[in-house]
Amino acid sequence: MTGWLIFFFAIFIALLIAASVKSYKRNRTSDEFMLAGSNIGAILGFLTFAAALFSAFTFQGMPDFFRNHGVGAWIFLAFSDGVMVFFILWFGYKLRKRAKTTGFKGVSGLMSACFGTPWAGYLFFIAAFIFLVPYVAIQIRGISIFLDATIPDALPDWGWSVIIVIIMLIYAEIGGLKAIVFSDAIQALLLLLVIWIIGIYCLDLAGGLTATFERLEETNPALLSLPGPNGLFTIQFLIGSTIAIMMIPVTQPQLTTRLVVMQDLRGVHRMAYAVGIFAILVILPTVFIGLYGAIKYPDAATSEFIASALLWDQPNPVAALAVVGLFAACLSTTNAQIFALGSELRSLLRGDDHVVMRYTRIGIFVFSVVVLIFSVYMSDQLALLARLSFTGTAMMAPIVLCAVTFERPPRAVIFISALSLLVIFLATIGVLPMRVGALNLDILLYGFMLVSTLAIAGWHARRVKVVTASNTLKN
Amino acid sequence: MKWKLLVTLAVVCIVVAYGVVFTPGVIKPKLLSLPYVLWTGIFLTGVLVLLTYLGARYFPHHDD
Repeated sequence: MTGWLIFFFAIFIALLIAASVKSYKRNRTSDEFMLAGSNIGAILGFLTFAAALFSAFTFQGMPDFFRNHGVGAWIFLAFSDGVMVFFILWFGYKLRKRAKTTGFKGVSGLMSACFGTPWAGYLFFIAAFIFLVPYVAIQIRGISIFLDATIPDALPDWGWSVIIVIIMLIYAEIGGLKAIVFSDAIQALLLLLVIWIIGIYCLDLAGGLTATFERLEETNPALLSLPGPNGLFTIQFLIGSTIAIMMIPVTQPQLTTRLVVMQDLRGVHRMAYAVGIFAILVILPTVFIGLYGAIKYPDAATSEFIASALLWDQPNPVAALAVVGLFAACLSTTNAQIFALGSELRSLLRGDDHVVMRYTRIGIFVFSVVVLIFSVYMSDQLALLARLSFTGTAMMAPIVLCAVTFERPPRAVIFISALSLLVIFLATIGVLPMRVGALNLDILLYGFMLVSTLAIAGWHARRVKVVTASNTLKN
Repeated sequence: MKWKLLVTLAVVCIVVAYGVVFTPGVIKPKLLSLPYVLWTGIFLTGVLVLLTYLGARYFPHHDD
């Protein structure tokens, strides 16, 4: 396999260098570096959005989710993605309209400007930092497990993580967001190709579609229905996941930024349905891989199952392609997320452009180190950690949605988001329970945010109407 | 008008999915050997993506 591995890695590295050279420009402004000149077309926009959304978590986490919890994993991610892409049609329009009138350097900066207080921006930044770190670490953890299985005992676990982070930092430093967008495009296409080859091969090894489901019906029928053998996919859990995933483009800055930097709204809308189609195409083969694992490796640990299904059970060229594909997926998604945190920091800083960029670069380095440390100590529950990240950042939905809806949004929603963030954070670290009576905490918080935000927004809209009418009378 | 109709259809699709279609403990009826939750899930995801495509065509606003 080593020969194939060198061959595919050489092609991948050559493509990355080509993308860096194409993106590199001397004396570029910070906007060109951080926001790719806000000139991304529909096709590139779709590929970069898809790559930032589907990553090592899809490649490794989803097969493991199907294997352990059954076919309900489709609703958890694919159906929720369907809801999300429809929501992008409206949200993309409102966000771009707001960004055009207020200016855009990052979502945190936009929040500060819209609410007229830096605290809104600080809150968004804190939420992004706390809940993006585990999500970024998932990618690094995932590829480290895989590389360790491919070349055992060559390096310690953390050694692979360090190499990935160093390549990522060099690449981001040379090319900026434009280079990341190009590498995303390469990754998205590679991911789709590799996952289908592996999916079809796994289905074949399991004896075909009909035989797979017949076998599972005999051995573990709970995998074929809700809530799955471990009872995870309750309707409440799935609704909570749909809301969290629907809010990804609203509250995860690496995706929110991509909606703004696209050339026009038409491109954003084309991107939305293209991402929907991509979601179906990329998640479908993970069903085959996962159910194959449920037959052949029902009790294996995550790392053992992933290494066997994606690597050892595959022909050598496919296994080598899987390593490169996963490496590419990890690199571009991690890059996108770390870079987004840098953008958020930059949007909160004031002063000379060069000084701001220097602090932003230091910030990107610090984030990378934090992520690196986290990736060494985290668990292997990749899909559940991703959901935690989506849920955590979703607490920022009230401030972002009010900011794009109202010309002068009500500041009271900052407290709603802050309180919800504090509660979910305390629950995450075990200080508060994740369930209150029969309700999951996330569902309870979504209900609280929805009712209180609607009440404040209604009161605010009436107040604005009265003030406007009184000003008109005065004039 | 068409946009509002599409939004209504999307909301109905989500409510019907969670309220009626995604029922715990059900494996049959199967379609092409796929269990009930999987084929209905794939079908409803396809419906949402189709609504997104139509929504992109009939969205009433443009970039200023």
